[in-house]
Amino acid sequence: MNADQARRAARAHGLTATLTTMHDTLPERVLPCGPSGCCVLPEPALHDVIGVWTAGTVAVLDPAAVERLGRVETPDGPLAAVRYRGAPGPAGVPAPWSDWLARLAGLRLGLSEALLDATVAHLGDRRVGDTPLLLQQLIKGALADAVTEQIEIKIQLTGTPPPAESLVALHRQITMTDRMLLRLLGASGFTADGPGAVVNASELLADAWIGGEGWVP
Amino acid sequence: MIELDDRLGTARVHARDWARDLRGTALELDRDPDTVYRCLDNPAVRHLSRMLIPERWLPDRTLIGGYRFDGMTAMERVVFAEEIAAGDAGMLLASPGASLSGVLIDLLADQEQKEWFYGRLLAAPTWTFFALTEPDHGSDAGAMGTALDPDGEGGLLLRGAKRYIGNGARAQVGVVFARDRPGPLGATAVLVDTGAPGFKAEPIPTIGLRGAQLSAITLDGVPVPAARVLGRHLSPTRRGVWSGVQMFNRLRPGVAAIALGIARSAHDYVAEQRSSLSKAERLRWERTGRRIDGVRQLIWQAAAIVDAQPANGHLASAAKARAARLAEEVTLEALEYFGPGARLTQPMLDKLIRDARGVEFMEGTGNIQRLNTFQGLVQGKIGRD
Ligand SMILES: Cc1cc2nc3c(=O)[nH]c(=O)nc-3n(C[C@H](O)[C@H](O)[C@H](O)COP(=O)(O)OP(=O)(O)OC[C@H]3O[C@@H](n4cnc5c(N)ncnc54)[C@H](O)[C@@H]3O)c2cc1C
Repeated sequence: MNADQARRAARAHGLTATLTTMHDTLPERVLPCGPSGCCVLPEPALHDVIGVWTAGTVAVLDPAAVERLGRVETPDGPLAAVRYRGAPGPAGVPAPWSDWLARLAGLRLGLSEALLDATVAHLGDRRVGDTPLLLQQLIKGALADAVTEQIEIKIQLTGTPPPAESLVALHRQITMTDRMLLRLLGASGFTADGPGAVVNASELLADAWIGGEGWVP
Repeated sequence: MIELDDRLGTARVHARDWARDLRGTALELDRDPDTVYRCLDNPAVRHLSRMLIPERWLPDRTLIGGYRFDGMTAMERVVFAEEIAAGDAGMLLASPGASLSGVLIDLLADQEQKEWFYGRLLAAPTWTFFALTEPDHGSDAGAMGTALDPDGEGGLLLRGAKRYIGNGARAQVGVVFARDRPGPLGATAVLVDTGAPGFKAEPIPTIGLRGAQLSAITLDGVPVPAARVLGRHLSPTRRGVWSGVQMFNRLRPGVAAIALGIARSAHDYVAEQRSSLSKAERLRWERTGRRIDGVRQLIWQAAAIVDAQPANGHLASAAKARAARLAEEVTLEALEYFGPGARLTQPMLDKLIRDARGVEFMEGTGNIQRLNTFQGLVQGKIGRD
């Protein structure tokens, strides 16, 4: 699965299904942990893993070193958040880290695109006086800004994936785009079972693997 | 620069002290909104439960640093709100007391209504709500559909639905806005007892600010005695739109201060948890601190204007929009000091990020505030002289 496939899958099928496929299509049954050992996956994906990404390489997993951090709620049910605390083993093959970040960006962008669709539909149904909210100029402008961000991100994720540093910036750009859309959803985007919950989960995924943009290890 | 006088400076120091305790219960309240019932002795909660009750009804109020505070001015409210929200914005919104309804009671209630309302608040910890938003009408509240009709026996009946109402499910009393006739002047506020037949409120789980326990309220023929119509002694204009505008103007700086408190909390959190910052990090942290200070000045100025001219809430709109955005930005930026997984390993930071998202919608969204700021600009009322 490449970033563009992840994007299309997420837009059509949502977060959990796409994350499951992303994990299933990795070459081995691994915990794909980020630089601080964190990883968020659907619970079933944690079973029968035998390897782990640690210190940038693929190592044998020590199950006792998997610490549970909690759950990330999504409308399809919770994901499990874990941190790998094991010592790095003998250097194995390099983990496909950049590819994972690119697919993750594709997934998050697909969710963001679905959010845009939902926002347009929502604003088309709500009115101010006799006019749909969708036709207010401030709203049109904000939606235009959001779709421009999304297309800019999509172009960069299509074909050869950008280097890891650029991917970090793209993830940040996705977060900001989602926030623009959330503001347009009003309080309906703030409920635990609404579209805003997916955005929260999407932000948590980015944080688990990447952290804030300005972070220097 | 605006500086606080000794009285408000004292308020600030005390409230900052109370906020420390609130941090200790913040995550528990986030998980379980009923935590507030176990925190009624917290000095911030006690203070909030007595705010917006005028001196006449509470003459023997406990002094704070030798001063009396009743929360009747916007300036006083913003100073307390920033500090308490920096402790826990959830608890600020979860506390018993007059809260949003208090300003409207002060503006519109007659003597008997005040006796009833303040009497309830003083008798026991009492939660109140303020219900304007409806499932289909948020920003465009003027189009509300909730109806207030005569019951044929001298009383009234409320029918309709309200949504996203803070404290709706735990309140004993509240204010409901409803339409008693068509047209823009047809909005009226009534006092409601939540024990009345036909009143139902259910919590709506939210992403953040969970202490506020937003609720969906159903009003299925709730009886309202004619004596509970607020502003019944005033003309329809003054009790409808006029009062709404005045009330929101007065409240807006306080909501801005809640957002500011959330931003500051995240900023303080970085300093507390990361004792040694690199040079670049320190510069970035200091720059954010200056932005927070700037927005605080804007809020103080907005509060001072609203206190002097309650009809002028334009700068308050600018401040509110600015502060809500600041809260989102500063809380997200705080992640940059901790590295991957911070939202999973630093639950307080995670909570601040979620809380920050909610202030955008309280008391008018960013777009509505911008439109109001624009009105202030073209009408020459935004304070450019
Ligand atoms: C934490 C929290 C606490 C709350 N507490 C209360 C409470 O106690 N009592 C209460 O009554 N309500 C409360 N609310 C509801 C709040 O007042 C509404 O969410 C708010 O008024 C916006 O309404 P809406 O959510 O329906 O958004 P909408 O009005 O549907 O707005 C959707 C989008 O359209 C934009 N928009 C709307 N009109 C225009 C326009 N004319 N031009 C350009 N853009 C426009 C908005 O900015 C927004 O981006 C609370 C909400 C939250 C999140």
